[in-house]
Amino acid sequence: MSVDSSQFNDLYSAMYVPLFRIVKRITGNEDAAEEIVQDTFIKVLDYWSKFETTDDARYWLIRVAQNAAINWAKRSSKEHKLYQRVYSEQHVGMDGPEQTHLKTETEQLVQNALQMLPEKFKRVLILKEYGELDYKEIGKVLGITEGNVKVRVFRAREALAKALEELGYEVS
Amino acid sequence: MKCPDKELLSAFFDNEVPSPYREVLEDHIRTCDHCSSVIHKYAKMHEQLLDLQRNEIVPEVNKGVLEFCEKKLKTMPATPHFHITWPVLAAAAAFMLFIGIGLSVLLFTNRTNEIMVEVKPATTVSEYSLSEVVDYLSKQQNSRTIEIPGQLSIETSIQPTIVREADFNRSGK
Repeated sequence: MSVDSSQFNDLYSAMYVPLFRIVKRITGNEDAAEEIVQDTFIKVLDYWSKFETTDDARYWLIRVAQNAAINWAKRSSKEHKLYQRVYSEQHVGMDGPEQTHLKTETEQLVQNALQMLPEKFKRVLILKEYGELDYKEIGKVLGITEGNVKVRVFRAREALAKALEELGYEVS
Repeated sequence: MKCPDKELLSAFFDNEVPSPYREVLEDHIRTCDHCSSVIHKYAKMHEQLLDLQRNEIVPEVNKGVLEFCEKKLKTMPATPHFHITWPVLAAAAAFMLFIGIGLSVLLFTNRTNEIMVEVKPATTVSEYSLSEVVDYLSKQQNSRTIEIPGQLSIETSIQPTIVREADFNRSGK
């Protein structure tokens, strides 16, 4: 794409909120989500000339932000486990970053069920529900076929229903 | 109508089933308790997932970051991006292969000619032309000098021509 600041402006305005929501859902941390989203927008400039269309830039943004969020969550989880092990007596029942800011018990339950899903199901479901992407777009972000997205979304839903039931929440 | 599998119902819920299949499914779901309960389950989970972000406050677009990005974008050189497609790449590879084969054939042919030039036909020397024999031998790299005794005790009348000529050359030095 050409070096056109208006195109970038439009992309920034259109993608900031969905990108923040996707990253927030993975990290469970607002500050981390904001930082990751901003870093991703700065990074995209280095690749700007390589994108043929704005859509290519959009898929790149989501993919990179999602990967950064997953890495952050993994790192945070390790640190949290280490912290819990060292200070277990003083900090029994302390919530991790993904449990913060949850308003109700049901929300916490759903958030926990979402975290219980295998990585590939969680990714596809978050893109569907929070990224507001269709199957074709999800396929482009994840580098899989539309048919594959359809199967994964279905299996992710079934897995989420099962996880919720295991946690004692009646879905159907 | 037989119930569709849940995978199709999930795609239907996501509005990913095209017309006219969508209308057929709609009619079926309206009359089928089992399928409508599946759709209801998906809708409920969808709502629960959206509830997680309902009370969420999305921070405002960071103007500083946006300004930084715009400045950076303006300083970037407007280099045109050439996208190489697969057919172009395949054509280039085929061209290179063609050139490679052509060069190989050309080099092989030249080498063959060189070899053919190096092999000279055998020189035929007439039995009685000693000057030709000497000339031929002098051109040979590994020629040997044949010493012939100076004193010949043989009769001239029966002396072979080659000996007499050699003797003549030796004495002429």
